[in-house]
Amino acid sequence: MKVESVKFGINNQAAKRQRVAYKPNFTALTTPKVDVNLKDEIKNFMPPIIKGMKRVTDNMGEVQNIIINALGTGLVAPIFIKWNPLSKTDEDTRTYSAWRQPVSAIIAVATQVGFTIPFNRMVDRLANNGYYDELYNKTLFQDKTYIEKAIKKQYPYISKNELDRMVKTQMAKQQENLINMIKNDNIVMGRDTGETFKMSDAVYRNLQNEVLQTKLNDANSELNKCLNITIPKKIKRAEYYRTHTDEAKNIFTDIKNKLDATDAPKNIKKLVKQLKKEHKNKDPELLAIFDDILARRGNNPEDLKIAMQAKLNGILRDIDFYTAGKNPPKTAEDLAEFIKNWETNYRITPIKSEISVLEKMQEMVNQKQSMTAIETYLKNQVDSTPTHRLTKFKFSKEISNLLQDQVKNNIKAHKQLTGLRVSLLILPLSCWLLNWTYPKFMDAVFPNLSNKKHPNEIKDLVNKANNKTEVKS
Amino acid sequence: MSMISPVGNKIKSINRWFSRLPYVQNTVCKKFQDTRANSAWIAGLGVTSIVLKDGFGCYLYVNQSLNNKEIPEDKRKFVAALDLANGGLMILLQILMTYTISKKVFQEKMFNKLFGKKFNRQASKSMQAIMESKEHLAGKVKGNQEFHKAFANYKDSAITALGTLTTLIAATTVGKRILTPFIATPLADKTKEWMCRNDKPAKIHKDTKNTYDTHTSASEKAEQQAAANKLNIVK
Repeated sequence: MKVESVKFGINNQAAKRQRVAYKPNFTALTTPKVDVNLKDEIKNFMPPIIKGMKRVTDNMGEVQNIIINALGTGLVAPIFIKWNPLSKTDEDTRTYSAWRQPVSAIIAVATQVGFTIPFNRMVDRLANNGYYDELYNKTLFQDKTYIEKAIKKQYPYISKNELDRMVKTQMAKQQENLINMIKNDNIVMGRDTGETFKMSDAVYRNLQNEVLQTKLNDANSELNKCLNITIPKKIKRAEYYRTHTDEAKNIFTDIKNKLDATDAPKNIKKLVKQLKKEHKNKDPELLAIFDDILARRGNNPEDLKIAMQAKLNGILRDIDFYTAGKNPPKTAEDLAEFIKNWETNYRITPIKSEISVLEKMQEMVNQKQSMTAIETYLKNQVDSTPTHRLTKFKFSKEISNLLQDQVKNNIKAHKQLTGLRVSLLILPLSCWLLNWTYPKFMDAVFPNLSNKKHPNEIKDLVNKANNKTEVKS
Repeated sequence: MSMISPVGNKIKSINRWFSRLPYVQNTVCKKFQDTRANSAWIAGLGVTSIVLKDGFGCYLYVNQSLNNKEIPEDKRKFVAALDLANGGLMILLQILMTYTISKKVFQEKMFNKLFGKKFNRQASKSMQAIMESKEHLAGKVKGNQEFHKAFANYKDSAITALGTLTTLIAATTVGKRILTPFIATPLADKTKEWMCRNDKPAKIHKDTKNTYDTHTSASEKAEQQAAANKLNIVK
């Protein structure tokens, strides 16, 4: 059966070998249900500079290297050539040489990027239609642009809205199919020739193991953090609240009231800084709480106010929690015991339970048990404890995400190396173009500089020499 | 990319052959799976790419200069020496800058100084509070591991981007374009001496003898001469 049949449920029993990867019936698709995706949502709340850096990482590759290199060549090099204090060459020569750099940078970007981008597109296209092996095969989760092109080819006059809907639907359908394949321990990828092949068992088991290992590492690290950082820190802070209840209540209630009444939370930060100075000789824990408030962040005053309000509400809630109530801890030892018990019940025990379930799942993977058996075990564990930390953990979905990430990263690596090879091959052309363009550019734009230089200068000298000879003769 | 079929097929199959190389599959692809842990390696790959191109470019330029009949023979070796000194220095300084800037200790310090406040516990708590205050996200963020994963993902990306950008800029801009020009010219004299160690003394043709005045540019001289001619001053 062809992979397209698996993906789109097409009956193609009599299908012939074909080069075109698929022509699915897009009209039969329905719009998928959209859930809140925190991965996408968080983007809207990140500082612009961090969003920019994420974009840099996502687009990292040979094109980026070429552009950074060219910026150095075109913008920085000329300055240091023209105004090099160590150079004994005359200024005209330096200016003439300096202009070679931007010309060289433009040519490098035009030729190298000009060739690298089509090659990158080729790699994407080949990955999407199954030309490569398993490591770079995207036939089960094709790119948006690839699906868009396929739909446009089938429906040339489709409206933009309809196209968007069909693309979203198609992508959701592919995701669903991939998860079903994982649930059946049978990942079948497509080739551009129309044939299909099954993902090797070793690779598949590796994927399963990696998902579980990452989850285990996270849980273990959280447990360590809880035991060694969070609990001691909470005990220290709670002890301050216990011994300085009135002082803490007064200071933080006052700050909270002032914050609630203003639209300029930065002024409250100034107030907290002032208070920190005034209380510099008091309990270090009080200063640490001031630092926590000062470290609150927001991309605009409204967000900053929300972040600071949340912190102050938390502080006042903690003061009540540790000092009020029916039977508040009376001594430091009581308080430490109270916090340890609380943390054990609400954090440590759930994390330990998560670790034990994950370890059991890992054991089942190593015993090559079926996905159905592993997921049934997970379901039973989670169902017996409604607040289990693995309630939202969907093993097959996680495997699907990891597979997609791995393929994406492999393609990124392959693209970077392809770009490097292409740039190297293009280099003689870039050099030749520079030698050809540069004198012409200088003659046209800076004739004053250009005329004095070789070969024009040589020509003048030769002419002069000829004139002298003529006079002599 | 539309290509004539046989050429296109050949390019595609060469490209696939490269993708199957054990080094690519077992080393390069693996390094790209964890860009945060391997940010120095990835930045190094970027610099290697530029160094390789510089090396090849240097070879082409030196070769071109040595065989360029339009350059006077007595100056040809100096021009080539300048190209060689330039190329060699560029490569050396880029490697040196990469190995200093991309060091983990240095990168960590720089990251904490520049962006640490944007990713500490309070920054994470702030973002959770802000997101929770939005109607469509209320009750879905606090304590959700998806949030922590996404937040950590942004931190990893920022670390990788900083590592890659600083390494590339240090290598290609500071090393190659600021330090190299300062050292290249004096070094070119030494390189020329080395290239000419077995040469017989070159005869300088009277017509191609360097007539540049290092203090007054040729254009200024011409202007002075023109002014002098106008005033009928005989030099």
